[in-house]
Amino acid sequence: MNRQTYCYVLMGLLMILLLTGCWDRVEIEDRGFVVGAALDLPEDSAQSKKVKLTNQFVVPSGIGAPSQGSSGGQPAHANVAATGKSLLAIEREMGAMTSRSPYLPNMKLISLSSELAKTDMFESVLDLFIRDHEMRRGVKVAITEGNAAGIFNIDAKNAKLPVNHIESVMNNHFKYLGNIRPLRVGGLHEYLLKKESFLVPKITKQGNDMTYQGAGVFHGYNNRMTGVMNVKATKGYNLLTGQAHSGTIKIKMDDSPVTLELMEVTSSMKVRSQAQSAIKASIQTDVESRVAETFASQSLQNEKRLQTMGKKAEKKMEKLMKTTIKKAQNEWKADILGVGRKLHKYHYDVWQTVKKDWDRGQNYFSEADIDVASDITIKTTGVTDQSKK
Amino acid sequence: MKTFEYADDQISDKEIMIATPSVVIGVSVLSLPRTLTSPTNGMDGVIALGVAGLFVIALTWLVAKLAVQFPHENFYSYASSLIPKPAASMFTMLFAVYGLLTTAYETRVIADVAEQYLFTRTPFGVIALTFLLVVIYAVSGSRAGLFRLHMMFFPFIVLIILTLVLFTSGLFDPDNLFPVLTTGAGNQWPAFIGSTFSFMGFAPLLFYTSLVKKPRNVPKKAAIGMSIAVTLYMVIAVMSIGAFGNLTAGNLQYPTVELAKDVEIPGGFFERFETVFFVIWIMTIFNTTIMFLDMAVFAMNQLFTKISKMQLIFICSPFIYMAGMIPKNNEDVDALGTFISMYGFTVVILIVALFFIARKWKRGKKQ
Repeated sequence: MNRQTYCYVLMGLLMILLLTGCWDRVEIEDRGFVVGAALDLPEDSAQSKKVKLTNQFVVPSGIGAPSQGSSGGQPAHANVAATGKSLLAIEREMGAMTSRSPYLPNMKLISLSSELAKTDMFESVLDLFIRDHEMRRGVKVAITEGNAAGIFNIDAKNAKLPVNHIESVMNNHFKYLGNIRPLRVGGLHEYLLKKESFLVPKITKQGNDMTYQGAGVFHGYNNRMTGVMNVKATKGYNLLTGQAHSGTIKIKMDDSPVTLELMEVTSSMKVRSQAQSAIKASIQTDVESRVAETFASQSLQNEKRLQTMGKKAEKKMEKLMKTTIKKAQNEWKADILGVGRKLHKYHYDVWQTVKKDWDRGQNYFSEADIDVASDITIKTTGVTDQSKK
Repeated sequence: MKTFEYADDQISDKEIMIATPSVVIGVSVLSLPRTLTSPTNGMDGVIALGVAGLFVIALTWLVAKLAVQFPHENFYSYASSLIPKPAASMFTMLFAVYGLLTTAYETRVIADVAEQYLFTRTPFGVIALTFLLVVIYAVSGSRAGLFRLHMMFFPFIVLIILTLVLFTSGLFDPDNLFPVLTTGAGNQWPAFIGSTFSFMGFAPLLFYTSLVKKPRNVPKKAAIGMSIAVTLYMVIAVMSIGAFGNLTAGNLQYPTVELAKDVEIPGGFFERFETVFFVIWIMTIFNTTIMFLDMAVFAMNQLFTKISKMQLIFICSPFIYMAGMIPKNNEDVDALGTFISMYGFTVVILIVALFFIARKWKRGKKQ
């Protein structure tokens, strides 16, 4: 062999060195896919700033191959819980408790107990979910009444995993006026930075089931939960902010109920202000709807009847909206409606004078004059005029 | 080993038009929204970006205009016809150092980003080495070949940016862009400087114009190329601010990457859009890096005519690698980036000003 051949052989051998190592290789069988995380305050140590993390892992054998359906009665998920002071430390510790080390990028849901949300731990524990590179900003966040880990044990119905079930339910928000739009971690990060008051959707466990309705109200300056928004106030909130895409309004016509289905809700807010003491906001909500259901037997093809129906619906909506405003201004004293945001965006100078005392201290927000107006158009009465005579 | 030599080492002005934005778009766009929003309110940073863009387009035109005055003449030769020979060789060397430093910086950043998002446990030194080896391989070949790479990769870059914009438009909230025009000039300044630096990449024009067959249109084409980069940057900046809001965009380390991570296309593979994004992005950074390393080699070759190109590459590459490994953390890397941009900017401005003055003066003497 001449020298050149030696050279080639040596180079080839060196190439092998490059081929051997992939530092980051983890076989898919060794990954423990975490789909949900629940955060609770541990019962015994409320003082010591500890937090209990429950992860829902996927058990692939429980899911089975798509063609063969579910394979036997084995559950498709496993919940693992651990307690500690740092979430990442717990996450790593879990590697010692499960056969598959936790792998986070497939996470779908973070559930926080309402108890934890009332403490200053709330903003702290979320740090990992925002900071870690494995996390995606689209993970949904929810508050759970009582035990946050509890909802990971619900009956998953036609989904494979409880978390998938919850996520699907959250995605149905547009059908019901009492649901707010799911909150993403990315969105929450924005709120935490902006110091703006916000809502986090709420999940309640009921026996083996869960319901997704209402929301937790958070104060922007300290990022703590100050109150719970019930279904009625949520309806008002959705109408005020125009976040609802659908939903129903029930009214009474001649003692028999009529249900209007909302087709499209748009709202606009105008803020007028010269000085910090006289901030006026007016919210106009326009709704397109159709008559979805009526128990009455009178004909609906009647201009006058439809008009009274519209008037009644408008009154109902305004009542809902006013309740929400009243609660926001007096009960929670938190600007969840975005009046401050409007001021910041379009009345920058005024905002500079009020921002320190906007929804705390002096609380200009609760003194602001917010009025509402609504306008409903009934587009159609369905495919039939009367269903009975 | 035998090396294959292409018959013509010439390029067309169209290739300059594509290469300019392809060189400019590099690592800085990953953090650009942060640079823009952290000192400003609302979308005011975009205004600074626009102004910086116009400024840079004008500068590109000027640089190309200068180089075009000496068709088919390399940098060192036309420099020494204008300014004294020692000064000309000093400037050629300064550009070589600029090219080497930029190569080191780009290598380092790509290794950092890849370590953060893709291979958490692979030592970044290894990622950097692999990347640098591929860059060296590219530069070892024909110079015109590099421009063909630009032509080949650039459509993908545009495509991926458009896809990114299309799929994140659902997150876009126009309210996030307000308030407008509330930032004072004092705060616009850092955003302006940051944006100007993110457009650094017109220095290679001084060298490669000599390869263009018919260089008459080069200034125009280079300016058009630069405006493509400016437009794409504006789109990315507006999109990130609209999707994240000013505060969040100003807080994220690499807002553009996070934007890519936010894309959720249903259905298996494309659900992880950032993987595709990274693949294409590494290609663009590769393009930037090969151009700068080649510029450095090109510049040195003009000075040391006796040393072959391959020898120069092999002498320089260990130093590039070591320079890239010096910064200890993100802040050091940022500082290195700022330093290189400042350095490059100063050298380019200085040489352009010097050349124009020298030309005026020489013409005056002739008359």
